[in-house]
Amino acid sequence: MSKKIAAAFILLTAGIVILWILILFVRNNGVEEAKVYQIGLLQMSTPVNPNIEGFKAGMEELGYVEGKNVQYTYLNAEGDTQKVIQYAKDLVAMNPDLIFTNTSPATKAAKEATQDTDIPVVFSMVADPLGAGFVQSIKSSGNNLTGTSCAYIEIAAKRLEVLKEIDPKIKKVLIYYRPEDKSGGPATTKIQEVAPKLGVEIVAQSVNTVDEIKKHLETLKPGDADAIMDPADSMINSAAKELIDISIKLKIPLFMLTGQEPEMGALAGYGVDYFDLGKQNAPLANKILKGIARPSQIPIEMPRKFMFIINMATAEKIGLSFPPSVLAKVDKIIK
Amino acid sequence: MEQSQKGIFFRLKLIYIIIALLGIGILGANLAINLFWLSPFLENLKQNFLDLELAQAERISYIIRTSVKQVIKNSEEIAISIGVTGIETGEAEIILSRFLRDNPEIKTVSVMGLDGREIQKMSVSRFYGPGDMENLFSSGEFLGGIIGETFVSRVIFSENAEPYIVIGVPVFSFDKNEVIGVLRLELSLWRVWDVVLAVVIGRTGRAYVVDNEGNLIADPDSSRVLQGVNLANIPPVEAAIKGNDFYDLESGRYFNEKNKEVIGVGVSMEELRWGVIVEQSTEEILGPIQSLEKFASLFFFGSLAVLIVLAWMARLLSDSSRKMAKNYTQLEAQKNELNSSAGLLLARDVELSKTQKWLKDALVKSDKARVDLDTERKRMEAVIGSLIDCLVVLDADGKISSINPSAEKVFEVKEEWVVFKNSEELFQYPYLKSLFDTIGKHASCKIFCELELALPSPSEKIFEVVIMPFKDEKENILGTVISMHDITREKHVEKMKTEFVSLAAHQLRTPLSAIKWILRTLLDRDVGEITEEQAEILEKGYKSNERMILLINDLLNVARIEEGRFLYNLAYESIEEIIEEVLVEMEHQTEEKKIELVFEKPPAPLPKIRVDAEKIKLALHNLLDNAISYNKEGGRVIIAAKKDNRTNDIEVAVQDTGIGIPLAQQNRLFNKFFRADNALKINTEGSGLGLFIVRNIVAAHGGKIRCESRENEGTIFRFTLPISSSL
Repeated sequence: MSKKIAAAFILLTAGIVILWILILFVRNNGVEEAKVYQIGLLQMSTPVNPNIEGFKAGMEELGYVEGKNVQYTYLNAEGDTQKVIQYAKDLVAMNPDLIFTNTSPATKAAKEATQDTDIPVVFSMVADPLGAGFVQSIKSSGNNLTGTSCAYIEIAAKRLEVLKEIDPKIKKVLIYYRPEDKSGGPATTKIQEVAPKLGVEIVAQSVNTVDEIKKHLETLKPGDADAIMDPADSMINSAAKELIDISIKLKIPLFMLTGQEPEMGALAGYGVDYFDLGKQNAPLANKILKGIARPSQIPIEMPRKFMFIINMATAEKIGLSFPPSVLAKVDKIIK
Repeated sequence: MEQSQKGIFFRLKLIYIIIALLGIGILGANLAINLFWLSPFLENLKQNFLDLELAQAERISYIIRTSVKQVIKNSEEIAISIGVTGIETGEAEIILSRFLRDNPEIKTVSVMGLDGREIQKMSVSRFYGPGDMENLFSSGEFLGGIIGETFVSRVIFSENAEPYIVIGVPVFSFDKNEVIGVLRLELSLWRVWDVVLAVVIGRTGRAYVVDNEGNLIADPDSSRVLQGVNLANIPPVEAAIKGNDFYDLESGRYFNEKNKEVIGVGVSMEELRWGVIVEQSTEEILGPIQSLEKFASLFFFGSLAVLIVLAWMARLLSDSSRKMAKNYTQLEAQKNELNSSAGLLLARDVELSKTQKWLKDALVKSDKARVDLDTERKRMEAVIGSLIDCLVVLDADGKISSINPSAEKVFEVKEEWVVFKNSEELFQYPYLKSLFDTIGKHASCKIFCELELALPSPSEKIFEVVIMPFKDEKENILGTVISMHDITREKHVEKMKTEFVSLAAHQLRTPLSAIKWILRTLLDRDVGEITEEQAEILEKGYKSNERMILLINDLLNVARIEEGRFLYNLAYESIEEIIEEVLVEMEHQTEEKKIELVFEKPPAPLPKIRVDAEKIKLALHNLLDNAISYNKEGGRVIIAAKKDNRTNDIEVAVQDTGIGIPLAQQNRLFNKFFRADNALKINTEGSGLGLFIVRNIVAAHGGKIRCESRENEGTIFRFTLPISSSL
């Protein structure tokens, strides 16, 4: 009898130990199934491509590999303000996990299209998110938007100063802008404010479409302007080719915002580093996708790097030589 | 019948022993595993987590300090350049523009005149017209800069809540060495954000940086910085604000601002008064440990249960077997006792015979030794009497027991006046008093000492004093020999030479820095285009100038070492990290010469040692530079660091496959300006000061350096740094 009790006791003890070990193993081997995130990319025009590339590169550094755990749907409105509104609606209809936009018109379209949804929007290349009414304050948007500003209004005066330094003889600068554009409008006002201090007269030409710019360019004669400058309107660079042609024909500087236009033949570009700014958005998107924070809890960030690019061949064509003080500021020279 | 009963008892006893052994074995093994392996292992695991956090925090702190120092150094160089060009010139504007372009984290740079008003001001994003120039007369950066000191402000938050600091650097005039303005720059801290973002600490860990008021200035979640979070009430932040480090596994647990229980460490950055905090959730660190502990407890109690069952089974065995076992044990014990007593008696007998023989031998040796000692004493007296150097011998009580004629002459005494006199009587002779004052406590020191003695006026002679105690076999001090060598003339010549080198080097460095910037400006075509041929000539000039600057720096270091002005800022540092940083600096040089540079890391991290990291880097740089410069193309350089448990030192070795050093010249290797004959043939540019500097740096840290070399095969330099330093 006592032998049976002993055997039962031993079996019971061994059973408990084995069961406990099994529970430990099962608990540690639970594997989470990887989710594939859907992200919509809404772009206003091609020149801001590096911004999208920067965003994707930043996402990849954070572990979002395209085709593996993230799927991008990319729509480019090519400067068409109507098309961008439709594209925003198309992206919302797909119910993505997040929409990434660049430029003010694309952000405005995404904000309106997501109004009745809780789809988060991360924006970039927006000159003045507060002034444009996209957010309630820099510290908190108070809605489903967050992102990075490109500070185009803040640097507008600096850009005119650099243009004047490139060619101190400049007295009259032609600017195309859309008054209702949330970037080009206020940037033009800033440029007009600082112009008298630099001894420059601003000829501000209001436009609504790319065709209007092209038509106006055809009427330009020598002496009408000493230089042409893009204030920071995302539609203007859609007429980049025509702007370059006329500036070389009239032998006057064309001053743009990015490195892309000088690559095409513009004299110079001064603005934010699009790629770096796009990358700066990736950690913000990551926090939203991982559920760490809502867009309203993420403050708007300012750009960190600015770029100044010049084209030496164009300078030679229009008979201009850059002063040493300008060369000292240049990040990249196109020969 | 009796035989069969005995057989049964024997078998029962055997079973009992097997069961008992089995039970004790299981429980013993279990206890042993828990006590000697598992418990220390788990404790070590916890400690390792914390050490890992501390290492991360210290590394971040080092990177931040180094990057801020680099910006300050660059600013000081820029200040030298605009001091040469003049602060209101177009050249100064070009230099500032380049500086701004090359350092995107600088928001604004300006130059203030002597009245505190900004003369030049620029930013990459803002336009500053004449009306935007501010008067910053009462600012810290101006007040610091104007008295010739570099100023670093506390952390300031911009209107967008971005943190930045202000740095003020004095601008000196080129010719008169007077302050002519102050360079001011606003340094954004987003580079620090990048540093903490790049740190990965487990699944839940993070590193962040706070300022001296506990405001968050860098966090992997940049939004938290922009939200203006203050963490002054979090324990590691509280410690960092007070300038203390935070490292304790027990009290290291706390709730962070997100109300999560974490284990963290904090490192205070003395110079900037910021703190780096690294923390990780308690659950992540202790979770696996707690699971292991639970498993170990269950295993132990399971074994205990099995043992109880075995014990219970053992009770079924008869009492008689136990009694038999007891009787047997008692008999065995008595037998063992008898054996042991017999063995002791035998051993004692052998020992007595040995002692008798030893005493006989000792008596014979003692007689011979007495005769030898007498002869030796007479010989020594003759040698001491004929010495040119002074010799004073003290007895165990510190009284003079003998003094040679040279010493009598120098101290102006006679041997009979001073031998076995007490200190009061000796102190009436001023030169002798000076000797005893200088050696002070060393007169009875237990180890070898080297000192310098300067006799008072009118003698004013300088002596190199060597104090050597002599001891018996039991290390009792029997007396001390003080030997003095006259070095008055050498000292005088050395002083004149050092002063000349220091003066010459200082005068040369300022124009060379100016030449460097001017050549760079020309080469970068900032003042107009130049032809390829002109560029090539200028490049040669630039390189020659760089070599001159390096030579001047070496000369200045040597001059500082000799004048005793080579300052050492000591802190606890990791030698592996120092080596890795130097290796990064050498990359370009190794690639150029196709040398394979290998760092053989120790298997376990070495303890931190109290050193001046900058000086040790300079020493390593010099050794590696030699190992690369005098190596064959495609050769190999190995650097290794290890702990010497015998001497409690860290030993660093630099080995190369180079040309080696001729045996006959190896004893002069660490002398100033010495260059080996074969080195001179392949490289005519060296100063011959590198190894002299290295030896002085190592010696200043209490270490030693030695060299092993074979011509055409290679060289190994080994130097030691004490772990428990008295520095």
